[in-house]
Formats: sequence, C-alpha cells, structure tokens
Amino acid sequence: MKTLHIAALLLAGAPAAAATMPQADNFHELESAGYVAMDHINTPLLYPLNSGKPYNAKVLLLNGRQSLPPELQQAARDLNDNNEFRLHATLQGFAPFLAGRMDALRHAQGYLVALNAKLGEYDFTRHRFPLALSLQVSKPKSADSYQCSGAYDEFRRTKLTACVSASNWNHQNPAFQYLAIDDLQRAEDIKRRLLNNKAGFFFVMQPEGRFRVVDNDKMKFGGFLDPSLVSGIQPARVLGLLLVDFDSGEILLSGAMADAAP
Amino acid sequence: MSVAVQGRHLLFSRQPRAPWVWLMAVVTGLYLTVECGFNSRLLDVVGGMPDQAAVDGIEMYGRSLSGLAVALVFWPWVLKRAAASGRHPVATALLLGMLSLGIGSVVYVAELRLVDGVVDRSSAEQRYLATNLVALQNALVGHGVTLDELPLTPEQLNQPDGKTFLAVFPLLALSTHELDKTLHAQKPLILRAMAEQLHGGASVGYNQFLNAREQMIDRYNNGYVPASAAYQRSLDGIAGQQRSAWDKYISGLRRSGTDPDRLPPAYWPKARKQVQKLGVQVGGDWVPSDRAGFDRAVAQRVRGASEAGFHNGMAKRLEGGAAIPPGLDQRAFFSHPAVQQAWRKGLGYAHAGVTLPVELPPPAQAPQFFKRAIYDKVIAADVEELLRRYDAPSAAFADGGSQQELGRGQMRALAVPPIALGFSIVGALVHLIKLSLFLLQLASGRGFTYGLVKGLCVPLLAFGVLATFHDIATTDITAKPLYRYFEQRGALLGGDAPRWQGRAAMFFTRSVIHAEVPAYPVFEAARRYALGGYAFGYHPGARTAPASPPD
Repeated sequence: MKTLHIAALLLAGAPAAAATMPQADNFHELESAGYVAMDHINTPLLYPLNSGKPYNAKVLLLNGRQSLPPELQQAARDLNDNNEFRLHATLQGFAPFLAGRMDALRHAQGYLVALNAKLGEYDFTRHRFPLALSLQVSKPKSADSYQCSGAYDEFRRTKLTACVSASNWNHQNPAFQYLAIDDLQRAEDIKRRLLNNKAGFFFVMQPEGRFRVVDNDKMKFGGFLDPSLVSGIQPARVLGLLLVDFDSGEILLSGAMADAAP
Repeated sequence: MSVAVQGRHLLFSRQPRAPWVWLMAVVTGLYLTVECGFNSRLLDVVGGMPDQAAVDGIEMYGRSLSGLAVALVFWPWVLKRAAASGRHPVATALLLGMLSLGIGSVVYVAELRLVDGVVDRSSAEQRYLATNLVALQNALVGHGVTLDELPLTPEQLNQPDGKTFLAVFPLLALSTHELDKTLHAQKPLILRAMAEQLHGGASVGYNQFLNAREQMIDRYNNGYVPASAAYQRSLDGIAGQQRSAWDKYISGLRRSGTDPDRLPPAYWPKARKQVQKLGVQVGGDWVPSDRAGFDRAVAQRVRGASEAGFHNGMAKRLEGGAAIPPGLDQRAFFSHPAVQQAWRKGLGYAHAGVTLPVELPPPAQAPQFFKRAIYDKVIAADVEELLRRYDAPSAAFADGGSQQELGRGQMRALAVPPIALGFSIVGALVHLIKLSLFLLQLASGRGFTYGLVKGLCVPLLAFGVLATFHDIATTDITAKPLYRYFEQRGALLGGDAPRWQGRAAMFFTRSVIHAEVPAYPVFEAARRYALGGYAFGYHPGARTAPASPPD
C-alpha cells in the first residue's frame, strides 16, 4: 500500500492516527477483516439492524441491485415478478445473503464509505492536487454530509433509508483538502482513473455512539421525483481515506485522518 | 290646632284626640312588643353560653331596635306637622321612612362605635381579665363552678334575676381586688367547667359520639365501600380498555397503509398525537410499536381517572377524604388518620389526639368506656389548649399580641350584653311611658303642652321607674355579700374613693336585676305569644356538635 499524502497541513497527529487505520493492500482484504462497505444494501440495513424493525426485502434488493454480487444480479431480475409465489421463492433465495449482510453489519469493525470527489488541477510547484470530498447527501445550509443510499422500505412512494454521518469531519475540515503525489506520471494516472470512474475515494470509518432514530421529516433528499426519507443515522469517526481501484480492488493510496486518535 | 291652644298649661293642657295619636299609640305598642320580646331573648342568650356568632347576632338586633326606638321619638313631631299642613299621607309615610332610616342608621352606628370604642380602648390587662371572666361566666352557666359567698343553684341561674346577674357578672367582677390572682388559682377548674359546658357534658358527648359513629359507619357502608368497589371494577377493566384502544390505534394505522413496526420514524410524532387524541397520553419518546408503553399510558389514564373519581367522591363525603386510599377494610378505614381527624373535628375533639373507636363494649359498659377512654381525654386536652391561651401573659392580649383576637373578642363578649340590656330596658321604659301618655291623651284629651318638656320628662320618668326597682328586692342575689362587694368595688371605678359614675352604674345595675324579675315573664310572654316565638337569630338547640375551644 502506498502512503497517501493528504492534508499535509495536519500531519502532526498522524503517528497516533496511523495506529487505528487498518493496513491493507486491497479493498477486499479490508472487507474480510470486518470492514463493511456501506453500499445500497448495507446502508439501509442499519435501520432494521439497530431498531429491530422489519424491512421490506423486495424494496431493499430492488434499490440495492447495483450493490449485489454478480452471482445474485441475475436472480434480482425476478424481483419484479407479479406472481407472488415466485416472488416469495426469489426472496427466500436472498434470505441467506441478507442474513449474512446483517451479521456482517452487526459485527462490523468499521465502515468503508464511498465519497464524491472533485480533483482540481495539479499544482506543479507543490506537487499536489486540490481535493474536495463530500459524502453522498449534503445537508442543506450546513457543512455536514451523510452517506445515505438504498432503501429498506417504502411509505407513500417515499423510500426509507438510513445514513452514516462523520462525527469528526466535514468538507470544511482542513484534512484531506490536497492529494500530494510527487511522481507526475502516477499523478496523471490517478487523475485519469478518477475521471473514468475506474477508481474512487472511500473513508474508513468506525461506529461511534448509538444509532440515532430520526423521528422528524427534516432528513429528506432526492427531490420530488425520487424522494427518500432518513429513518436513522449511525455516527462514525473517520479513521482515514482510501483511493481504491474499482476493477481490482487495489488500494492505490491511503492516508490517516489527522485527528483520528482513539 | 285652635282647640289645642285653649287652656294652655306649662306642663299639661288639653290636647286633641287626633288620628296621629292613635297611630303613635299603635306603633309604640308594636315597638314595645318587639322590644320586650328582644329583651327576654337577650337574657336567654346571656344565660345560654352563647358563641361569638350568637353575641354578634343579638347585638345586631339590639342596635337596630335602639335605632328604631330613637326614631320613634321624632315621629309625633312629624305627624303633628303633617296633620297641620294637610300633607298627603303617602308623603308623610315617605318622610317617616326616611327619618327612621336616617336616625336608625346613626344610632346603629353610634352603638356599634360605643362597643368598638370599649374594645379598642381596653388595655391588655383588661382584655386578659375579660377573657378569664367570660370563661368564668361560661363556667357559671355550665354549673361547673360556684361563687363563694354567692352560691347560685342551676335553677336560680335559669331565673330572670340569675340570667341578668350573669349578663352583668363579668362587668361587676372586673373591679375585684387582685382579680388576676384569684382567677389564676381557679383557672384550670374554670376552664374545665367551660370545656365541659362547650361539650355539653359526658352524657351529651356520649350521645353525640354515638350519632357521629353511626354516621361514619353509614359513610363507610354506603359511601366508601361502593366507591372502593367501583374503583376496583374500573381497574379490572384496564386490560379491556388497553385492547380496545390498541385496536383502534392499529386500525387507524392500517387505514394509512402501514403498521406500528413499519411506520417511518418521521411519522412517529404524528402517530403520538393521534394516540394522544384517543386519550392515551404517551410520552414524547414513545415509539409507535411500543405496546407496553401504550398499555402503561392507558392504565395510567384509567387509574388516574378512577383515583380522581374515587378521591373526589370521598372528599365530598368526608372532610379530608381525598387522602383515604381505596381498598381499606373496616378496621383500616376507621383507623385512617383522615377518617379519625374528620370524625374528631365533627365532634369538636380537634384538639385531642384520641383515637375514636368504632367497636364499643356492651351497651351497659359503653358510656363509662366512652367517658374514660375518650371524653376525659378530650376535656383534658381542651383544658390544656385553653390554658395555653387563657393563661398567656397579659401582654399577649394587647394589639399585635398573640392573643389579641381572643382578648378583643372576649372584651366584646363582656361589654355587649350589659350595653344591649341597658339600652333595651331604657328603650322599653321610655316607650312604655310614651304609650301611657298617648293612651292618656286618647282617654282624657290631655297631654304635654310642649314637646320639648315631654322629651325631657319621659326619659326622667323612665329612669325614675327603673330607680324604684332599686329598693324593691325581688331577688336575694343582690343581698349576697359578694354582690355587695362587687358594688363597693364597682363604685370605685378603679380608684380609691367611690365616684358618682360608678355609684350610678351600680345603682342601675341593681335596679335592672330587680326589674327583670317581674318584667321577664311578661316580656317572654310577649315574645312567645305576640311574636310567635320569634328567636331573634338565636337558636341554642341548632348546634348539633359541640364547639371546640374558641381559637
């Protein structure tokens, strides 16, 4: 794993933070070590996991189809079957998978949370890219953002989901504002991969505090065409940042959160 | 008028048998009937150990009658001029009404101020003595004590002279030499007699206790037990109400296409409001799928409503009943502090800490048991409580002192009967003489030539008549050595030598006592037969429960 020089301004606390950042060369290694990727299946499952409430497997799977492993993608097509018996049988087939996801979430060492990233033009003087990161859902009039995706159920044509929030980071935080790469060729390669969606940034996060049920309608996103309503938020602490190649799962770069000391 | 001026004489002359004389004779006769009835009732009040309300009530009647008496003095003057000027009878009646109202009000207020003035000007020492003398007066009424050198039997105290003596006794005794020392030694005895008199004696107390006990048993059987059973039935219905309320809530959710488990958290506040609208007061943190929390809220509502209904019902049935919990058996109910307190209060035993029993020994032993276990303890507690206040330092009776109210009240109780009696007697005599003069005028056609002379002569005659009774010994009370001692001390008015004011007061006090002996039967007959037994607001038999020692 290469060391990523991110947020050079705040490296004073890095030695302590580095101790909590898991060491791995590959994304799948982290998953095997108990770090759960917060995709369209795992993220909404946070609500039923923490509240003990039931979830709608059909809604969950249809909205999280893109997060299904390839071997289940085919079976997911049958979820739109109008025959309730066949649908029931299909859902029964997904039961072990979903149970496994729930179990993985229950025992998660941490979360791997995908980020939106905007890479600026390379600064040839300082050998770095300006970097703007954000989670999937931005909170209006706030620097905070949330990882919210998928749906565990629907109510009145509104998707119901859950989120992960960063307790020690938002886009105004000085950490991770630059991506420093000395090697110009490598810098160009990484930029190309990012622009072609061949790679992406992930936060390595650790659950911090109790899951918070949101019993108001202020956490709504998606607009009127595809509205989603947040039922709960799991706070988590950012341990570090990963740049991952989507094809191989290779961790291209890695950096610890400056203040991520335990 | 031309006839009236013929044959004028300085004192008497021919006077017309005018219609107004007839009217005045009738009105004066009517007034006299009422005044006589009042006078007899006043003696009953004094002789019956009245409470403050009775004293205040009879005082009000007395002031009103005094006001009317003075107003009547001016009626002939108005009527004569009305006849002479040919004024319309309605206008004359209106004038008389206004005159009577005006003069009556002035006299009413003046007499009230007189009593207030006596009370206001009284010293702390006088109030202390008045307090204890009124207590002694009450003890005499209750036959709990007798005066050495002036022993009065219960029969004597019920006679007019005895009642009159009782009315003026505190005023007479006020001038006794070193009265406070004399009273101090006898105070426990006096207060015990007073307490006994307040409770009416052990036999009366026993009967009242039995009546109260019956009422309490009735309250238990017909009030508490049904209310407690209704409360229990209400609690038994909690499970049903929980089911019913939950079903109603669930069906509401189902109509919205969801159920408690699937309802998104964003809709929880709305669900809470809907549940609260159903009357189930769940908390702000209640989760819509929380059946246990829902059931608790329903149970709380039902229990709260049942408890409120039960306690309100008990509060209406029994003073302090709100503190009594449901589900008590008979023994626990009657020994409950709230029941005991209400029971004691009803009997006037508030100062005593005795536990009143609902179970009594056999009837033959019950009265003795009551006296030993309850009555004697109540009296002892009352005496202790009375002693605490009646034996307070005299300074405590001054304005602003801890016993100010007691002292002022007892000073009033001391002053009101003699003052009311004096005004009543004088008013009755004055109008008796006036009536005689009107009748004389109607019979002989002669009367006083000048109203002013009449106005001077009539009161003098009245006092003269009263004075004649001074030496008509209609009772032996005034012959007793102690009474003579009171007279001698009273004439001194607190000084070293007799003063004319003191002598005059003692002279007329004796005259009044003598005069009441023949007058009272006549007055009482007037009250009973002419006034139909009118009570002037005093109903000694109306007090069902004995009073507690005055606060």
